[in-house]
Amino acid sequence: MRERISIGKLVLFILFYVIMAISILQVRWYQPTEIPRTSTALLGKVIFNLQGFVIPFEILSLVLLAAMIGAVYIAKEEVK
Amino acid sequence: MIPLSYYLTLSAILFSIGVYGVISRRNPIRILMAIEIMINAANINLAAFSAYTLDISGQVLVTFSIAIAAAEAAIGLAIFLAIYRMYGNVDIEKINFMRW
Repeated sequence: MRERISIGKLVLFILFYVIMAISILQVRWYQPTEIPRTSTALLGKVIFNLQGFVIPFEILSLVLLAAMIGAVYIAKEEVK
Repeated sequence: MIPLSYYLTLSAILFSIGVYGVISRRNPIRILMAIEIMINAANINLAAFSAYTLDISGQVLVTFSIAIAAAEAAIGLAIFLAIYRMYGNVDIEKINFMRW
């Protein structure tokens, strides 16, 4: 099935982008003089730190488990 | 050094492409892909602001956000699979039984 390209939606898309680009370019963003190169090791130290993000990480593992079980339950074949 | 507005413009382009994909396509798989593009645009914004404010916790949040996006894509695909099993098509004009 071939989908037609609607002119109105294309115009809406371009207008949306133009408005966002104008509003981005109007702001004088904060510009640090030098950005330090962040390493993956530093990211891991922040994640697996008790003052950091280790509890959200564990909650995220529960969320992923629930999503996996839910997806399997929704998509499985009906057992007669 | 690259100004921050370059990253924001890239993110705006990606988000606009995602919005266009959501409002113009009929295929639900394509709509899911467009939603993924929009999520990635938000992630680019978050990572860019995190790097430019010298605070690394934003990049950690991006890592979590990618995992949430994976869960969302799996649930969406499962829902459309179940709808296809029940009704035989996934035309989004006819899927109105989840409205209430």
